[in-house]
Amino acid sequence: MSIRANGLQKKFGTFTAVDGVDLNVAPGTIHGFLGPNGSGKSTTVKMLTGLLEPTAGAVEINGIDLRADPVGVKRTIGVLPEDLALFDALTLWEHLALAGPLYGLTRRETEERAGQLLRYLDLFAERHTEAGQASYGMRKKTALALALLHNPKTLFLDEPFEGIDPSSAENIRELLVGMAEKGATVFVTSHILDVVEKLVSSYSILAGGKVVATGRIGERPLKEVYFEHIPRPAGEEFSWLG
Amino acid sequence: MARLGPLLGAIVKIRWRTLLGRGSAEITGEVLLLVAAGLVAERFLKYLPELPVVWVWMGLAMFWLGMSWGREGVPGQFPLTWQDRMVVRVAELVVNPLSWVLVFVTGRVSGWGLGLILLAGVEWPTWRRGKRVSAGPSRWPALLRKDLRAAVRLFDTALAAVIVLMFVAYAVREVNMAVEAAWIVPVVVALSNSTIALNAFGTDTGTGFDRYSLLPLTGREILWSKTVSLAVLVGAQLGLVTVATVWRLGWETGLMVGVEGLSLLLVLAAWGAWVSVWVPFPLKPYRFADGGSVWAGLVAFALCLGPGMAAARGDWRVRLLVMAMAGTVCWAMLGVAGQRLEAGRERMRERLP
Repeated sequence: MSIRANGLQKKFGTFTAVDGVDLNVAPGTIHGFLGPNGSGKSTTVKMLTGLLEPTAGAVEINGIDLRADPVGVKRTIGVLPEDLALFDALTLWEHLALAGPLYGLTRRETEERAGQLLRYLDLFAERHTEAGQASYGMRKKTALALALLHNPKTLFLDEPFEGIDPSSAENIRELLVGMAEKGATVFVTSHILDVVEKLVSSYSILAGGKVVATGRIGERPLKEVYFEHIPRPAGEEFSWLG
Repeated sequence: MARLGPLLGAIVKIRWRTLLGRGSAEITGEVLLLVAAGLVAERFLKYLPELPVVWVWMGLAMFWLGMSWGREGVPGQFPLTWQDRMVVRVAELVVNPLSWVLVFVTGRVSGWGLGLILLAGVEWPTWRRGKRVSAGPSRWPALLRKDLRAAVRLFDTALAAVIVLMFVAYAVREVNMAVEAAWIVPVVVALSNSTIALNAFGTDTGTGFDRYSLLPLTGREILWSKTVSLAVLVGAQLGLVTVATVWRLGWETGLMVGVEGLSLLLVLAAWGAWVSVWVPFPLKPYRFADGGSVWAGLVAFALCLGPGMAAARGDWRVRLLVMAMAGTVCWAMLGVAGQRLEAGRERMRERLP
């Protein structure tokens, strides 16, 4: 398995954000991790990528125990985190130039890959903008390029399409599908069910920190499964609006 | 004006909560540093009556910093005119207790003019000097470049640079330079930079810290990169002080100032690594923040005085011994703090905005 989590739990004081999540994602899979705001998706991703220490449970990524060898796991994964994790004082290009050698790429390889990725994401012209001065979309594309630069075995993407222009989003979707076809694993969280349904091959739905449903695309319509487990808030009459 | 009431009320609330909460330690730490700066300034004022250009430059720098404050302090989407923003700016200064302490202390020590000039620079958060700031040749490692670029935008660095420039100006003007000045200045320069050392991840903020966590780097490697950045930054400042001292007071005294500076740097790096990783106080990205802990600032003050006193009073052997001890402690601390960083990433992340 590319991603294996057993009994993953995270408590913040008395509040349990993630409660006993089990995950098994096979290589070459694009797995959607869905759920409403506050359901624990990002917290789970943070635990799977070493940004948060689980209160209980075990994580194994690409066959490596995350607790035993966190740096080893980080060499094999790419992450697009919720907060993008960029340094305000570095330019977009400098982020990629920084990351490449840390993952064992030569300077030439880094520059070639960085240039290719930034051109594909329509970001090359703005590459010398500091992250602190860049728009949200530019920052997000940079964080995505950082996640892809070293050709990771497993990708964790937290809301990859939020704030991205349609043409770049389509490019990203094609890129992810191509990676999965070559054997990489992609773990995606998203709120946009239509996008997820076209992209992923399997999914888990999280509510209240627990996995309430799992399945494969094509078995049943995703929206039907989702709203079965996540009821919509009751309607309100907004006579004062509009 | 009436419509600004809620906004001004919110500013007062924020100030009081800062004062009554943990933030009061920061304010105390800030005052401590300002007092030290004021005392040194007072010493230089005696020697620099004919150099008003230094103060004019400083005032202009403060004014420049101040120009950017309003836009950052109040969300840009608020429907405020520039007059409204000026009112808010002034109100921020008036309701800040630090303003009054600063004016009183600096005014009493170094003159009311200096107090008012410094007041102009009290409330400016991060100094943003436009889109691009070069921080050295592009072949420098990106982490080093990132830290230096962030540091040169901090007010602390500007203050240290002003002190160094004042010392160089003093050396140029005064043939019979006081040897005490050469011993004191490295301590004050180091103290001014101590906020960067004690708050190593402050300028990264939470998102930058997350990137450190995602990269395949050990805690020791991360702290080494921080220490090298600090060494380049403080080393450049203390190097100028050393050169000026060699020029006026000869090689022996100059080299001793260099040894003192290196000892201070090592002490700062060691204590800074410890505080940045261990101390359970919120870290802040802005200038004059001592890591959120007044005792951390006080210990830094005491530690920096150690090499300073050894340099001023000890002989060669004592000075070199102090430097060797500082180096050993620094090397060991980076290893220990690096391990601690790896184990306590989550706790540290919670402290960063």
